[in-house]
Amino acid sequence: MWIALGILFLSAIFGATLGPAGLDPWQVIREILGSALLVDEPSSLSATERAILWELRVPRVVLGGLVGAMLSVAGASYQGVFRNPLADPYLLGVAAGAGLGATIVIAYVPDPSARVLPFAAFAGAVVAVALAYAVGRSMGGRSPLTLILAGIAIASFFTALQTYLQQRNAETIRQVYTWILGRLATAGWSEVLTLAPYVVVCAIVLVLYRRLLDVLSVGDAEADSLGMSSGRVRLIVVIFATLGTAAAVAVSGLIAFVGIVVPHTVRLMVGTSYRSLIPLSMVFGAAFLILADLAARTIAAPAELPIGVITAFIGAPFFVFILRTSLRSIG
Amino acid sequence: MSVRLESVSVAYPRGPQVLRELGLTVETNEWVAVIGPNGAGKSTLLKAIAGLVDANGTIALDDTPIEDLTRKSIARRVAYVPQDPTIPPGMSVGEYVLLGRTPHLAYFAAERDHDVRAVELALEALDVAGFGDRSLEGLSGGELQRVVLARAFAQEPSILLLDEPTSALDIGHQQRALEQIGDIRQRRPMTILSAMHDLTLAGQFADRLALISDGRVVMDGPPAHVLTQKVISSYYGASVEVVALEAGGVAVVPVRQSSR
Repeated sequence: MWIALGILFLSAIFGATLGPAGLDPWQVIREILGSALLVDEPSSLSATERAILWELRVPRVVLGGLVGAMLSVAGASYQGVFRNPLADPYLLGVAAGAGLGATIVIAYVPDPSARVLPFAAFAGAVVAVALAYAVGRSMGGRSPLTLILAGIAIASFFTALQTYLQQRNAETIRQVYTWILGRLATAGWSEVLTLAPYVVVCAIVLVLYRRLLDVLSVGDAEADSLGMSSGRVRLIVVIFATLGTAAAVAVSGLIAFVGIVVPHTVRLMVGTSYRSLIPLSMVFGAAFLILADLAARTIAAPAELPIGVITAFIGAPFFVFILRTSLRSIG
Repeated sequence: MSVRLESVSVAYPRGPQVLRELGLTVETNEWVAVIGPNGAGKSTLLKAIAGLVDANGTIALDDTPIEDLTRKSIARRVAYVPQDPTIPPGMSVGEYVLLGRTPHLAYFAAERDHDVRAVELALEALDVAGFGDRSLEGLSGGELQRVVLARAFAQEPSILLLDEPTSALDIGHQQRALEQIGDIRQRRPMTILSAMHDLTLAGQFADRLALISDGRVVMDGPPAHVLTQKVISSYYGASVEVVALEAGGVAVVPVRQSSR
């Protein structure tokens, strides 16, 4: 855990220092520690450097960390409740549902405030994940692929609906697009403040449920025979994982594969127990997204790549690897 | 702890009636083997006692109807071992057996020292003491069966429900598993209901046999009373010989019909 936090700290420092205007890491650490400890020490950074640090870099790093932590812990939680190694907020259609929910509000509610969007996104996301689960189950099969294929079908359908709504409401189309593609680039403190409460609440709930996710791994009937209400635990975990994902999608747009890459990497390191998987996924997820964002804005500098390109570049091959191993274990 | 079932009926949604007005009483610390042909309702009976299926009628544990008990308080009294337990990929033996402590823990609480001790005792009782760090997937069938039983014992139940506890094992492992359950029962008395296909083993280890057919108990009594050629041929449609053993008890031996 300390190692994980150390890696997160280093990624955050890298994220805050590297960029078109390079800042000295030691000065950044001193500046951040100084203000955290309320030390009234004259800063060694210039006024411009301080503005870059506090108004651009730090909120972006914090937001990346929040989104990464949320998407990873949501992925780990979905994998637990659906007992499906392939579950991921993106592949289950959660992200597409959130997108549709937000589009409906932008298109039909006059002058929506930014605070409504996460709720609309949440409603859409819940519908998507419930549909994916119901469709997956109705096909019967025990293979984890069924749920994922159902999720992909739901995601395509919702994306189609969303595109249709955008075309019908051409006057708002720009707004939707900015939102959908809303990257961490436009991030400021207001996005951080919108997202942080959701991530904190959802993360606390999911951490509390981590032992029960282990119990759930023996199947519903056996978990019930151990005195747990598996249906209720699944419902609560899905609600909070989905709420957090929707909120993250609402500020950062659709970022794929984080929820599958990070938890599986953590599993390879510490084993499959959700007791360590849930908290470690959160920390590594934050570090992963901060570094991915760093790559997104430095690789093609001065141009900036969408962060989804970086995560998909790493995540897609990784997904194939997970697919292979999980298919082999099904036999 | 005793188990009493009175006119218990179970029907699965949009499915057939599985138990019909079934009645059965198991006394405290008695071992009753539930026998009967495939589809008779043996597994459903065990699930009903564990509170895992909706049942009409009365199911009482020491005179307390299970509908008055929470899921958790049932789980503190009753451990249920399914025929084909789910083995979570990648989990270690220790983590798995620790799951048996779930009913004794508050909702979000972590295990304490005495939970870890209960797990150690259960692993020792089943002769898998050094297995804590091994992965479940690396175990043989016999070892896995003992680990699953250890999880049930870690639950510290008064009533143990075993659904075909030996169906995946060879004859030697079958015998050892049942002997082990018998030994543990000597040290820590508990009521056992086991659904069993092997009639000879059922007769040797259980105090009493309850024969179920078509959702009802059609015969109930000591093994020698239930295991007769006539009973087995009429309820199982099997051609068998029942042989009295020198060591006591009987063996049920299938006989190929065309050779007669």
